Amino acid sequence: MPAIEAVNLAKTYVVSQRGEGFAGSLKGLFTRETRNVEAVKSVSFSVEPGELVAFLGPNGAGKTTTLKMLSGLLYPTGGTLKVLGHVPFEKKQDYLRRFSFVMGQKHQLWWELPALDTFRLNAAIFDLDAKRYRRRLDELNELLQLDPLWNTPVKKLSLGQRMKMELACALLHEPELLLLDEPTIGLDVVMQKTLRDFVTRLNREKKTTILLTSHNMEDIETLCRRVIVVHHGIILFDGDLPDLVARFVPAKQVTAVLKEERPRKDIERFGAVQEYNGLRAAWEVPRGDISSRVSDILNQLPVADLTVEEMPLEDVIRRIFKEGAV
Amino acid sequence: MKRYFRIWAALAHNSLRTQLSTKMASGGYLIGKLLRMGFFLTYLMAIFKQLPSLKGYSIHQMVLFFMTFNLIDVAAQFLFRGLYGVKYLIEEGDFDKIITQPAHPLFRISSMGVDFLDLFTLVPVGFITAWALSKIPGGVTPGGVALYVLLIANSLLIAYAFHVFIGSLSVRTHEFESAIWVYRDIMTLGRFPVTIYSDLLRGLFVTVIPVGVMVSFPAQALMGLLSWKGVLYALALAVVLHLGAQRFWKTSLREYTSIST
Amino acid sequence: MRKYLTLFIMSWQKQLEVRSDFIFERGRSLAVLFSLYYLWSSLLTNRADVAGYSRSEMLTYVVMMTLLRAWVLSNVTDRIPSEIAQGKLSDLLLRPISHFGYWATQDAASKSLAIGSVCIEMSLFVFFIRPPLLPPTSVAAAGAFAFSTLLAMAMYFQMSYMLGVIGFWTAQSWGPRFCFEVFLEFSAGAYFPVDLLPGAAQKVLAWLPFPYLVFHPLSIYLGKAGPDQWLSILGHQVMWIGVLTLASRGLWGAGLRRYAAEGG
Repeated sequence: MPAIEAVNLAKTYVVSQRGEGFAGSLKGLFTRETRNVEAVKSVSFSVEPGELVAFLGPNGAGKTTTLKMLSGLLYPTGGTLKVLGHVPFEKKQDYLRRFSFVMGQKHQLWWELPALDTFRLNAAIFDLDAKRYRRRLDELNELLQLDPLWNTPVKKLSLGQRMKMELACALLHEPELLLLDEPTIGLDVVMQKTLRDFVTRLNREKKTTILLTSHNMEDIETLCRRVIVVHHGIILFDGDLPDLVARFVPAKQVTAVLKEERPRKDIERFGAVQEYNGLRAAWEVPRGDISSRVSDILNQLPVADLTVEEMPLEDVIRRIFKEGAV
Repeated sequence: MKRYFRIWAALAHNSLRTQLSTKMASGGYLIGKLLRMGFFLTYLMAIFKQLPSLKGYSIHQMVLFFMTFNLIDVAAQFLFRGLYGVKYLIEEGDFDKIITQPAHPLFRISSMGVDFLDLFTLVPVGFITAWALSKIPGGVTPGGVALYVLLIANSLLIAYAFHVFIGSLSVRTHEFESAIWVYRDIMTLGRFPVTIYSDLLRGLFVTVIPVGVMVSFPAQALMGLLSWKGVLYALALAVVLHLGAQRFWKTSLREYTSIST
Repeated sequence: MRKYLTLFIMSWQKQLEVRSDFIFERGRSLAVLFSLYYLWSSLLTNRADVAGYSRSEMLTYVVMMTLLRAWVLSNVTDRIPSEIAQGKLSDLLLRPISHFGYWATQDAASKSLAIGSVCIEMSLFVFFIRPPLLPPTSVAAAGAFAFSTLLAMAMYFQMSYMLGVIGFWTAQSWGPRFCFEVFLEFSAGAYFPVDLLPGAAQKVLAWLPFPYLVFHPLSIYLGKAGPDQWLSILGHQVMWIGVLTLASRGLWGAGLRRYAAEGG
């Protein structure tokens, strides 16, 4: 049985146009002028247990709305949705105990108090007995090095330390499914890596199913094999990351380092120049032409070093959304 | 049940710890409340020295009405204060967290503002109630006391329904946080027995704005002045309001649009 | 002067945005009006006076007291501490505008809203409930009452400004402030006329500024204080304004030194 199964899932927000002020809102109770916003038009996908899937898309594409429907926060206006065998919006206890939803910009830890106090609250909510609670604290501490931070009030933690705590707190009850919305937003490079390593281990060792959205392409590249690209509330692509690149970008990037400087017009003969500074040049080359073009370059330029790479993922994504390449 | 007690204890523990960092504020607030109660009593006593009865009620009976008001006001705040902040919770994103965790969200939110200082206020309320009762000719019957306790619980159920109703409005519209203050203002109309008000107002106070049912009825029942019909009406009203509020809450969650994108 | 006018209009808009305080305050004032009006109305039906107040005098007191709550007792200075805590004060100190003037302007803006609102509320109340309202005993009494109300407004602003300035010392000043305001309302006569209190309590209150905020102006209105006492009442008010001004200046100076010492 798939962990997540969505068929034609849709969410239309009814946005009420209210008048100004208290009187306006009072009036809004009786008469409402409304406008429909289709945040998610129709998405269908399924995720097997143990998969790690990324949602990609520009702001307003419907990623977060989809995650919020998966979590049971929002009531879908169309389609069917089953997560871990449950209809999320019903918010059955059994369902709520088995997943966790972490939003990068939001915190659940009590601001004034040490994180441990929120952990104790969550232990009560998820009904962990003392022994299991202890064991989980030890495990999470081992993975995230939380020991020095337990008794510091949350407001005094750095953003990175806080994010580690948030994640640990969300995972206290060992969820089978983890929904991560922008987990690395605002973090420094070192902390981003710590977090990514942690997510990878979680997926490998605990077989946790993970669905994440991110604007950080490094997150996607290092973490996910499978990506789902959402745009304007529909799915543009659902498959392996390499296929996404192959499908949307019919070109690779060829970079050459030269032994001696060459004028720009010599460089331009070999294709669309992406980068040029005399000694270093990069071209965008159609996939089919790679071998012939590479041998031309090697023959006609004083090449010291040459590499053939996929286009940077950032460029790929930008290209997909800009050109609406569907 | 045991789990909910554990959750409540953890929430209460956390909010107690938060408050300890604001001792002066909560202390001042507590003293202010006691002061207000003291002043009201002083004025009432002074007035009743000159005018010994009001529509048949003696000063001690008036004090009972006033203490019943305090009891319900304090208990409702103690239990449901967290529901004042639904709009804030939504804006901060905490609401999303709360409704995706396996504990009843209304229970969670209500218990978030538990303030043990409230309970200090109940100490003088208890003593003054006992004193007033001892002065009432004929005293009270055990049945009266039982009915009093029952109707107080009933009033808290009505108070809860109003809190849930206003919280639901916030969920739907992200507005109406001021409605809770209007509710609290209206409640203060119950400091005195509703018999003092004009027919029209009294009619409102036992139906649409049931301050009378919430505050005057329990006190009247304690003194044996409430008919069985009145008791049944109060119970029925609470059940209807409660079911209505719960229903409204559920449908409001369907219309909930989590703010952040 | 123009900057104060701009500020006045800006705080008007702000009041309309942050309306929960406003609504709460209006609701509270109406709840006090209704409960006390009907309490007295029932107490004094077919009955003699209480402490020298006839039924219509007492009901007039309750109605006029509601007006004075908006005229005299409304304030926005409870926002001063949060401005200090959030560091907005530093911004303000760098501008060519006095802190006192800044808050006096905001206070005037909020007061004008409260006054507008109370006038509408009371017109409706008078129209529907038809209370037995008494006019001032004479034209001179009306004038003295109006003057005394203005002085009460100045007195109260100094007091509430001082309470706000306590925010320099603690971020939790709203606790003591609440406590103080409860005491103030009862001893000012904003619930009951203070001459209902036992004699000893009245003697203590005579030494305090509070009864001059609501009770004494209304005594002039109702004729409880005759022309021979007007001068004493107005004189006391002027004296209290002087004392409170000195105190609030001193407190502000001390607070500012503390603020500077701690680097905001």
